[in-house]
Parts: sequence; structure tokens; C-alpha cells
Amino acid sequence: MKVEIAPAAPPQLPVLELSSNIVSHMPEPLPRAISLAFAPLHKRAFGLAVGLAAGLSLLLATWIYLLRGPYPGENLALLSYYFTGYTVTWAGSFIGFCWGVGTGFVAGWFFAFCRNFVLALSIFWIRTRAEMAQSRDFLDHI
Amino acid sequence: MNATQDDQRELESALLRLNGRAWGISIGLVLAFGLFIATNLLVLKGGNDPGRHLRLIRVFFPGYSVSFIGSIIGFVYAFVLGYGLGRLIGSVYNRLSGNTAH
Repeated sequence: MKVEIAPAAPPQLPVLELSSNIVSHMPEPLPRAISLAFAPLHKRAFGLAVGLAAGLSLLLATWIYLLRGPYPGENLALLSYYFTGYTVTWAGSFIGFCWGVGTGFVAGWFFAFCRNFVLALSIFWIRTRAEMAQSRDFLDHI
Repeated sequence: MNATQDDQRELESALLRLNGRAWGISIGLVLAFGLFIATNLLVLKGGNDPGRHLRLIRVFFPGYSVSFIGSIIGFVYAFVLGYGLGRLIGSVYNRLSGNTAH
């Protein structure tokens, strides 16, 4: 007689029953509306936006200077101390544009990073204060 | 997609994008007041040749000079420049981050 053995049932994992007290103290995700109100800046997009603005500013400044003629005492070429290869010429204006985009990107990215960091800190601070306010009457229940 | 979802998406997009006009006005006012105050500080300080270096801005801002009238002219120029920069930053950011303006 052939006996068929039923496959063993998978071991049941113990189900942890969390008391309502523990559940209530777990950090809850922020509501959608709040998280939208505290939405972080997109660092790369902001960096590119500021970089483009800085690059175009330097490009136009050089062009205006070239079109309006040299002025005594006015020397945009001093920027070459920081922007290697930049000169007050048509070709140099494009090198300046690249430098402007680069430095502007770094500045914008860093600004967005700092802004997001401060925002995150302020959210943490608000949440911590709210939690402490909730447990202020802790000793009254003992 | 129903109207509620449309409203929700529109609200999220409005909250996530930069307000180009607000950024323009903000940067414009910062630049404008910066130049206005810098100019008038030099005017008040006086001396033989006040604003020897600051007056070089006249290459880019025709009509500007280191005087009270010149500071008002510079205020207008700097505000227009800052407004343009702010609008540019806002529109480029919104385009790159996918939060297009409606």
C-alpha cells in the first residue's frame, strides 16, 4: 500500500503582537500635505539654474564691455585670477561662461543643500518638541 | 482621472515649483537695495573722490553715478537685473525638476 505523505506545512513565524502603547510611540510618516509644505529643493536643478544665470551674466557683461569700449580703470580681465583662461575677448567670454556655469552650479547646489539641511533640522526640532510636549505629564501616570 | 486627483496634482505641482515672480522680486530687491545703500554710504562718507571704484558700474548701467540721483538710477537697473536673474533661475529650476508651471 502506497502511503502519500503530505508536504510539511511551512513553519509558522511567531506573530508579534504589538501593544497599542508601543505602536502609538513609533514615529509616524509625515502627512502628505506637511511633507509637501516642507519639500526640499532639487539640488542639481537649482545648481544648474544658478549656474546658467551666473554664466549668462558673465557672458553678457563681457559682451557689453566689448561693445561699449574700454573704460579707464575698468578691468574685467582681473577675473582671470580666479577663472583661468578668461580674457576680455569674444572667445574669452565663452570660457567665462563655462566658469560662471561651474561656479554657479557649485554655489547653487551648496545653497540648496544648506537650505534642505536647515529645513530638516527645523522639522526634527518641531517633532522633538511635540513629542516632549506629549510626554510632559509622564510622571502623573505613575 | 477625476477632478479631485487633478486638483491634488495641481496643488502638489504648485507647492513644489519655485515662484519665478517671487524669486525675481526678491533677488531684484536685494541687488537694488545693496547698490542703493552702498552708493549712499559712499556719498555720506564724502571725501575727495567718493566711489572711485563703484562708479565703474556705469559701463553696464548707463546714467549711474555715485550720487543720490545715481543711486536711484542704480536701484532701478539693479532691480531689473535681479528680477531677470530670479525669473531665469525659477523657470530653469522648474523645467529641470519637472515642476512645470501651469
